[in-house]
Amino acid sequence: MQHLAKYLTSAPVIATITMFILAGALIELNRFFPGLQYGTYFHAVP
Amino acid sequence: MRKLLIRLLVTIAVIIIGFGVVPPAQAASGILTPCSESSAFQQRKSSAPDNYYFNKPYEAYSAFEVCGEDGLPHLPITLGTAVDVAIPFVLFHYVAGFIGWSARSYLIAANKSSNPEEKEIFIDLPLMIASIIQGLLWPLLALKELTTGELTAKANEVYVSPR
Repeated sequence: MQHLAKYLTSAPVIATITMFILAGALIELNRFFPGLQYGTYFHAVP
Repeated sequence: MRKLLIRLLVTIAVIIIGFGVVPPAQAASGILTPCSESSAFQQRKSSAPDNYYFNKPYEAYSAFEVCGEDGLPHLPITLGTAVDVAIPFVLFHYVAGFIGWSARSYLIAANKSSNPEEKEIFIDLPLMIASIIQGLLWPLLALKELTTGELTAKANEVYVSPR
C-alpha cells in the first residue's frame, strides 16, 4: 500500500491525473456554457 | 566607427520596416460592414460545412459582427466591448501566473527541505496542495516579494560573462 502511494505520487502519474482533471473541467465548462469562443457572450451586440 | 555604422543601419532598418513595409490599416471603420450584408462573408458561410460547429458561429457572426472586405468578422474595440477583451486578458494572465507561482513556491519549498531531488520526482502532496493554494493569491504575493526584494536577484548575483 505504501509503495502504491509512492507510485501514485510520482511526477508522471500526478501530471497525467492533473491533465485528466483539467480536460474534464474544460469539457464540462463547454457543456454548460457553450459558445464562449464567439466573442459575443458578454455583449450580444458589439 | 563600426559601432556607429551598425547603429545607423539599425536605425534605417527600423524606419523602413516601421513605416515602409507595413500595409495601411485595412480594418478602418469605414470599410467594415455588417456581416449579413457582406457578400464575401455570405460566400464563406455557404461554402462552410453544414453542422452545429459551423452554423452556430456563422449565425452569431451574421447577427452581431462586422466584416471586412475579406469576409471575416472583425471586432472594433470600443469602450463597450473593451470589457470583452479585458476579462479574457485578466483571466489568462491570472491563470498563467497561478501555474507559474504554484510551481515556483513548490520548488522553493522543496529546495529548503532535506531531499529536494526526491521531491521533484515523487510529488509531496501536502506541499503541492499548499503551493497551489498559495498560487491562487499570486498577484498579492508577487507585489509583496517585489517590495521586499525577494522576487528579483541582486545585480552582483547575476553572472555577466567577461567581455
